[in-house]
Amino acid sequence: MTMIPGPEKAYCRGLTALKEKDYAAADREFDACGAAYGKSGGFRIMAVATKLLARVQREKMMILKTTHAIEEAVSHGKETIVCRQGEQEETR
Amino acid sequence: MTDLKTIERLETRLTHLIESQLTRKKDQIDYLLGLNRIDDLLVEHGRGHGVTEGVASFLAEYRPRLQSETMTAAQRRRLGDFLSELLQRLRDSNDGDSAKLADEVREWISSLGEGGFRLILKKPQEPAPLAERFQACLRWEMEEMTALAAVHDHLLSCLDDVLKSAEVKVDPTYRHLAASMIYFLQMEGYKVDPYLKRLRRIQTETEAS
Repeated sequence: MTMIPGPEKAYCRGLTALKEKDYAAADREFDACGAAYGKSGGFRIMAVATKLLARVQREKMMILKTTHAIEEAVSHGKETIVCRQGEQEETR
Repeated sequence: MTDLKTIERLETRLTHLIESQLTRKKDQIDYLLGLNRIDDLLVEHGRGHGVTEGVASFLAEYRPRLQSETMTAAQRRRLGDFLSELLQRLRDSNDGDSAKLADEVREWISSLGEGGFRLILKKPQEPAPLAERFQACLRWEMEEMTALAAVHDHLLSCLDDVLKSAEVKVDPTYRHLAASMIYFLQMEGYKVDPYLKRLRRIQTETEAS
């Protein structure tokens, strides 16, 4: 079906993903062709940097989600306290 | 927050490293992605989809980038192979737009030099002896098999891939490789009838066209 061998096709898809800054997709494609290109120093640098960057971005998302969740919890807590104080004041 | 800043610094540096690699290897990457784009067009055509717009867009984007002087002789030959295959499909389409695009592809092949031009216009004057051509065929099949084994776990999956290639290519080497794999699987006791039928159908269709 194709004139390009499977590993080379995966490498091309990986490069396209890199150009589109989709590092997670590029990492998956580079993993798929790693066996065929692993001996190339240039490929290894690119593949390792991509893997690390994809991981770093996942970590960043986790930190941002956690931070957001904490901020929401704190904010919710304050609102509750204010509301209760208001109720108390109204009660008073 | 300190963790986030550290992560962001690392992200910036890694992004910069990757961008600089992409810039440094721009010619090589453009070349590979150009071949890949032609390959995608050939696959689309093989599935019966129209590719005229895709070919026009490909030519506009890649012809200025893939100039003869930025490529090695081997790269020119390989690009010539891909373009020749594309030219063949455009010729088969028989419509005005395809004919114009075919002219442009033919010009491009000519500009690649003797290697690319020879691929579509003439056969070698003195072909190598039969035994040497057979050895070259086996060497090519060995390389193809190594690449296939890297992505498939089982020989049957490799065979399926080769048969798919044989369906869209005029090159008889894929059919030879498929036949060889089928014969080997049969010797190993596998049921190969469906694959044999596929290969016979491909052979018949190729001969008819």
